[in-house]
Amino acid sequence: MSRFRISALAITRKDLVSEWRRRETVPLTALFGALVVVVASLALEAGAVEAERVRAGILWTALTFAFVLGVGRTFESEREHDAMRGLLASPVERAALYLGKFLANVVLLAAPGIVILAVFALLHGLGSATATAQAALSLAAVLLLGAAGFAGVGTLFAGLTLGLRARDALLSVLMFPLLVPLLLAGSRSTAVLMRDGTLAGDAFWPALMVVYDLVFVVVALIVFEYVVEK
Amino acid sequence: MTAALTLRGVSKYYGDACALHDVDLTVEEGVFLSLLGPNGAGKTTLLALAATVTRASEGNISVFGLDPGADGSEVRALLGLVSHESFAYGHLTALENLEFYAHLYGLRDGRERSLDLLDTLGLYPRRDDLVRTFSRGLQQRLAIARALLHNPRLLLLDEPFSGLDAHAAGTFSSLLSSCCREGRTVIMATHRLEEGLLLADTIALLDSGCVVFEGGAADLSHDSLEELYLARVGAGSHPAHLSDTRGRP
Repeated sequence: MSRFRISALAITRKDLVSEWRRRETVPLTALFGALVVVVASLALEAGAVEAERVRAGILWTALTFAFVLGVGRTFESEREHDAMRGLLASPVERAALYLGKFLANVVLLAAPGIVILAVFALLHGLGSATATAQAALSLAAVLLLGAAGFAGVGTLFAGLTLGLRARDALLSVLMFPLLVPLLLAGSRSTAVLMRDGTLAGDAFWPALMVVYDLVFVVVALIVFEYVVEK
Repeated sequence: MTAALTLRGVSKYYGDACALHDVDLTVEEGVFLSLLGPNGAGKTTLLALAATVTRASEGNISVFGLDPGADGSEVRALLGLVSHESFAYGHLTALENLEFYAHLYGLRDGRERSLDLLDTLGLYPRRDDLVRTFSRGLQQRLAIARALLHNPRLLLLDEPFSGLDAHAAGTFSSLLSSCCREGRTVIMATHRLEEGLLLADTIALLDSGCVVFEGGAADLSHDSLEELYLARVGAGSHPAHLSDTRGRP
């Protein structure tokens, strides 16, 4: 295995082991997202809301707020004891550092995403069309694409705002406009799945999510060096 | 002989604030340089630039003839950095921390090397304890182990003795002495003159982002260094031209 991959995987593993021992980001993100689902359900009278697009919108609003909260903690372990400086002083390529953090973030967002989806299903149901295994897998894939998109953008901007005092607020302000296409595509894909149980007839939105994820990850791999060595 | 570190006309700005101004400095390979100066003099910034953690606003830096901008990873593989922070992860054990960094440095014998250093620095019995349970001094010992893990040719030390008890400070001094005997280059930033003079071949004084003195340490006693320090730094000396102020007092 190349040093690039070894470094990236070492960073991913380190982040996942740290999170397993701290149990902070995943429970916090899941709880926050679940609360948004509950609040939105109460506001819109759960059960009375039938339109798939509205239900999918509620789900993705909850995921968006929760994921932004989650990616805001990307470099939390590096802030402790100034470990970021230790990483930057090591020969790890900045792109490998980004990739390692990105992969960890995908896992750390997908896990609470599943919890949020479960709470949503409990309150709203996912529709009879999603009862098949294929539909459930498609929904999981859409969720994963969403987590990857948020992780791709979030890891980059978390690095950009790392040393700033108002980083949490700034991260949200910077990220939300860029997340609009992903949020829209995720919401529409979910609505299609809830209605038809398959994405075969309307592949535009999931395809947009794939392209979005690829573009942001590739761009971030290139520019991350300049972002963290500012 | 190749210079371990060369800075030519290096300046570093953080917004409007100037942390380093037009610094010229050459550190030959195998030399122990003590970088002295008060808080805010620019010592940490100079080390951060040498460590390639941040980029210079102006000027050129070369490490063992390599350009950190173009050969960043190659340069960083030659460096070991100890700061007043440990760079350690609190939710990993001491051994896990060192093994993690060993992966980043591409060491094949990372585990053995980590265990050896933990033993040398008296941390072996605590190897499986989470670092967040460590005292400041124990964390500093771990930081030293991390910096020495890959046998760096250039050691950059920023107030490395802070937090160490007398025994650990003695062990670290011995380690530094053996590093010097092995021909490694050491640059140590400190505001404590005694520490700075103890092992140094060369002394550089920094004040307000400028090098105000650079010269050999062999003939300097603690008193003469203190006198020099007060004259160049304590009195607020801020020479415009480095060349006017270099050399022995």
